[in-house]
Amino acid sequence: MVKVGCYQVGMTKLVCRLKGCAMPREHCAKTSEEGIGMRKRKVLWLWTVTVLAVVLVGTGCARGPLSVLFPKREKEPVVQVSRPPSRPPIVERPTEIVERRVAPPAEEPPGRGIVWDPTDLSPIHFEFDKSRITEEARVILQGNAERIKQNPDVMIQIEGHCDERGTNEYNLALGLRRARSTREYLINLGVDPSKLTTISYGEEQPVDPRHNEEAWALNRRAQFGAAEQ
Amino acid sequence: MRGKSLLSKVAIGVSGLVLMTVISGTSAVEISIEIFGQRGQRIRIAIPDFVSRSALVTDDPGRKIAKIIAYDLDFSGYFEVMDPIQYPPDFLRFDPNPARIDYARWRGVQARDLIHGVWAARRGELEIECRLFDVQEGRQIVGKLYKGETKLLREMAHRFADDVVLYHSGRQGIAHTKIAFTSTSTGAKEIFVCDYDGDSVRQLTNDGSICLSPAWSPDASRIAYTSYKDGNPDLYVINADGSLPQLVAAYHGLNTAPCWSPTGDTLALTLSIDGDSEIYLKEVDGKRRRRVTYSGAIDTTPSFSPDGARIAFVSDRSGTPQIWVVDIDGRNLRRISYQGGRSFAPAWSPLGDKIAYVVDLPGEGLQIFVMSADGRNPVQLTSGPGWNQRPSWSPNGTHIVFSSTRAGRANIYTMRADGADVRRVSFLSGENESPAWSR
Repeated sequence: MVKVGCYQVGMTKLVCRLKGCAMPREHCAKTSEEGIGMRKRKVLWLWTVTVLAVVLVGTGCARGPLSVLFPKREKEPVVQVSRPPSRPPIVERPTEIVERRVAPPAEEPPGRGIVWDPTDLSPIHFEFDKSRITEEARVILQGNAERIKQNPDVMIQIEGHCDERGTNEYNLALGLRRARSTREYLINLGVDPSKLTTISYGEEQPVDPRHNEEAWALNRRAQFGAAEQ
Repeated sequence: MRGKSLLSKVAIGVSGLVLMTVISGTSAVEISIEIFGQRGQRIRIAIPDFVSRSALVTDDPGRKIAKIIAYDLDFSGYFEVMDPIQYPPDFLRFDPNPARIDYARWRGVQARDLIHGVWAARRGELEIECRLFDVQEGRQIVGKLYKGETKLLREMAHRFADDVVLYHSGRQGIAHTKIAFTSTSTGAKEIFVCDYDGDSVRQLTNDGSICLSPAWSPDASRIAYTSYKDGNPDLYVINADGSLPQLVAAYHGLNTAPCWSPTGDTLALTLSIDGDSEIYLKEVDGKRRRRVTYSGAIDTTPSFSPDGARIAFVSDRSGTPQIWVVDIDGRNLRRISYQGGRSFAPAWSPLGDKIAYVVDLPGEGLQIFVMSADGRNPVQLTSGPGWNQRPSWSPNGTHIVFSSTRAGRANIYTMRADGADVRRVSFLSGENESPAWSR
């Protein structure tokens, strides 16, 4: 620092005294042009810093000293917006809805689960008052047996049905005979017996409600469905 | 004999004071047995509207009571109920006091019996005083007083009609009996019950599935039936008021065609647990069962003889379905139907002497026949148009209830045991079938 008398450039009177200068006061009053400029800038800077500090401390005082650096987020004040009266009020949706994502379906490996409904199997028909498997029925049952064997996880219920020419009770017994006869034939074709159950519906569920030979021939049948697991 | 004896006078006086008494003179009983011995000799009886003691009559049940009794006595087949135009010319109504009956006027129109009735309504209850008079002798032969809630009006009238029939025939009347049947009026097949005259229909089951073959217990307190409500034809027993359905047999396969033993503790039914359908006996309130038939044929629809010693049933072991009879221990198995037509649904008469059954006639379809219990003298009771099946006897053996398609859809009808006097009983929509007559 360039000394001018005992006055260092840029120093104020106060600082000169604090640095222990013993020169009389009149010396310190004198300064160069440069010194005066620098001194003015320093004064301005100090003054600005002081003002800012006072302001910050004043606002941060209530919440402690660190709150100046980490101010809390204040809630937005609720603002009432007045709506035009002609529009209906918007219904608030219930907030009890639980949402979560679901994964896309996994690829099923072939042969697992019920991929086919046994009601697809063709029914077979019977002669009047008989439960024997006719030639036409044998062909159908051969096809059915193959499909059943291709789907070994499915339980099949064989239903026996009758036409209305007999009492309801007699037809329940005849229907059972037809269902069992069908089951026997399928077992002889190699179907696993544990996959086949039987039930009779007698004359209770005709496919054709008419009262003629045509309807009766259609109703004398065994048909297939999925058994309760 | 003409004129009133002192004993009769005292008897009439006493009956007017005492509730619920029955008086009959021995001479009257002998005469009535003679009359019933001769066919066609029906008792000509007048049943004018019941009268009220009070002058103010709103909602008069007097005509209704008389009409119910008239229907019951007409139905029984023992009476010729007089039409009001046949009453004495200036007769309007009875005086409430029965002592004032002018028997001479009634003899003048050939009335043999008449019924004098008085009704009174007290605090929501109905009181009916009914008296049966022998017009010839001018004396009371049956006197009864009935008291009960107004809604029991039909029951009270039916009771008196039964008392009249009991007096004249020596056998209990059937006016109080009920008929159970199946109906598809709700869309599913359910069990319904109605009075024997078709009134007061009510639904008993609500299984939403298929219910079949209702059968009354001998004391008319319970009904056995088959239901598919659990996916298999299982056997249930339910109280007659529809309460407490109880699973009785749920064996694999069929649990069908129940028939109560006369003792009421056993059911004969069809099971298929041993392969094909066979007749078994099973305790109603227990687990024991016994097999009765042993053939690879269809054996079903058992019907007990009234002495409980034998069972009639259907078997096709001879090639076609026919009626067979067996002792309940399995012995003395014999076929009894021999006309050749396929035969079904035997119903053993409560009198023990006859079996009603169904025959599939070529060209005519299913028709009801009756034969003696040993298979002789088959008689055709119904004919076309329409099919007729599932006969069930009234408990006194005088009538048969059955289902018929003579009017299109199946409905319930009654007829006398000789096939006469067919009356339609059911009017629900759908198919109404499989009737059973209670005690």
